[in-house]
Amino acid sequence: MRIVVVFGLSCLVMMMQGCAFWGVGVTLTAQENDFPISFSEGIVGYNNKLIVRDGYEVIHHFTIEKSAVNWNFWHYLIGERFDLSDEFEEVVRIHNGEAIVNLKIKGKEDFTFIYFLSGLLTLGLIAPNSMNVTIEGDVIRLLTTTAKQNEAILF
Amino acid sequence: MVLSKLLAYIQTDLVGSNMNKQFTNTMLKLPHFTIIVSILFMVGCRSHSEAERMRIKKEYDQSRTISAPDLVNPLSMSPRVGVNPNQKYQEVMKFSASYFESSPGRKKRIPNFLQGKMSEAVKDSERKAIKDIEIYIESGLFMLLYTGGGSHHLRIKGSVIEAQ
Repeated sequence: MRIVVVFGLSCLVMMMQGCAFWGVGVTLTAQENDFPISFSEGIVGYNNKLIVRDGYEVIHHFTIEKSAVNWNFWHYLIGERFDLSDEFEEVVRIHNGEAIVNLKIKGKEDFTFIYFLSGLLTLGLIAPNSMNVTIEGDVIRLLTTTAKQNEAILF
Repeated sequence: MVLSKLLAYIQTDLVGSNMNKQFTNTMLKLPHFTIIVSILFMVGCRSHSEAERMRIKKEYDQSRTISAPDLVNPLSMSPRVGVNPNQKYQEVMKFSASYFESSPGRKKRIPNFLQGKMSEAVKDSERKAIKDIEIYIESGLFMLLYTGGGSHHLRIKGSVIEAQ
């Protein structure tokens, strides 16, 4: 009887902690790249002027998926950290681009019954939660650069 | 004809001979027009609730997404906001904004909250931009008062710079 009461109280306490307990946190950075990675549609061009949609061509639209799992409320202290520099570097290098614009980042939790069961059976010691992060954007090349390259080929 | 056969089938084979007899007889006496109108009304209600659900889902998805397609000032995750490495910038201030929402349906969400904050920071000049943007996304679940949702916390940090 005592075990049942302790188990029940533990479950109640665990549930009352809500999102503080069953949560997942992710930090996203890309501070190693030497090209612009913009959330907006604008970047600064070679002539130091703002360039928007009509000043570049979109070469490639990319999507990167990342998944993070935290095991307990420790995500407040040691949340997962993703450095996206390598991924951005690769996608720009492969397509011979100069920058990334229209960046979009979306996080969506991925909580399943197994996670819930795990939390209950271990009295909250192992209470995982995961999140899928989707990163989308356009790799671009400035039209002035393309024109210069064509000029160099012609003459 | 079909309706009466169907009701008779329900009465005799599915429910039992006497249990639903009164109900079936009442139904058979109703004009078909009323029944059709009732069905259309139910379909209409269902469509409306489905549309409302989709609207809430869309709004919820938007509030969980960090993007700024309507802005033109560069808002970069990297230390560079332009392709010219020789361009000089001066740091104006540190930028920080956060957005928290919980329990969908109980609190009004602001889908473009972070875009609005970034816009505010750079709106007075085309020469302004934000660099070194760092994003924190946190997602949690309410278990006790679970209503099909949870909480979502987004935070953005960066530096507002201006071209010299």
